[in-house]
Amino acid sequence: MKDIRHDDSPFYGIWRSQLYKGLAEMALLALLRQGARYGLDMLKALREDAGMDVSEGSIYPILHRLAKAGFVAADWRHDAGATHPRKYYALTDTGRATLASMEREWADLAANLHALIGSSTS
Amino acid sequence: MNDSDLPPEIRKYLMELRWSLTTLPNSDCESIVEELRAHMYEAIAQGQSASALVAGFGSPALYAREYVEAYTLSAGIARAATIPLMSVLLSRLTRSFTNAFFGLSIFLLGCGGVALALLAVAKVFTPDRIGLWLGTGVFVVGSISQESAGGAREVLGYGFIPAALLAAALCLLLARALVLGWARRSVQNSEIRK
Repeated sequence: MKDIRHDDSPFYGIWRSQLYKGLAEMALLALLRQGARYGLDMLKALREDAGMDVSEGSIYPILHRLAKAGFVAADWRHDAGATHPRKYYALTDTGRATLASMEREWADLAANLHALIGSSTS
Repeated sequence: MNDSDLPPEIRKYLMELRWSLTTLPNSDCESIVEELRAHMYEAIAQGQSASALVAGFGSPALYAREYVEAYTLSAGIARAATIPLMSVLLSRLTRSFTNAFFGLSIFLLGCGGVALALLAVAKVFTPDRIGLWLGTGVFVVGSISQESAGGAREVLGYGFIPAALLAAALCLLLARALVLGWARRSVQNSEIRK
């Protein structure tokens, strides 16, 4: 019988992609809590610090939506030493409040899921 | 920043992206392209390959689609323009059950409205054949043959014309309200997540 590796299956791939997509907004808002950042910098942080497998093309449409929703504000800055301007995103007050709600929701969900997974595997 | 400093693959990508974004206001289009150019410029300077970068963004048309659809929805809602909103709904029909439900309902209401309007016009030319037919076990709006009419009789006469036009207008207004309702719902949802 063939050994089915779930991490290779199309279903697992779609589920994982949807999971990351759903969490990307919260992760991006969380990255901006300490101050304004630009796209490439945030992409690196998501990949390297959060271990999220997000594509280059996914981050800007999300930032655009967050900006339209009023959660972030953007402005172009020319950093010292940089050869070109960068578009920085900063958290707005509305974004900060929404982030707090998202984090509470996530903490509750994660705790409940941990309990569920723990009880079903023990 | 000068585009000539970028690899040809990326210059081509940015050009095609600009083409795909032409329906957006120029300032929005430029802002999106400019941000991507800045990203690609910096990523190339940090050693990333042009082909990997382009692959990461997907095709320019696909990348532009979300921006274009979002703009079409917002502009369509602001102008209450149902045709562009319908085009977005059609492109999203298979993405969710809700979209399919809205699409089917709008299609049926639209067809019903058009059919009723055509029947109102047809009543003028063939008054004996078109109308609201009622009888034992018979309820027909439209054309009926003498053979299948049985004991049914047409009850509205020429009153069928304003009644059918009113019903057609109601169907089309309801279809329009559903299109706008779907668009508003989609915009609210996409502001949080897609």
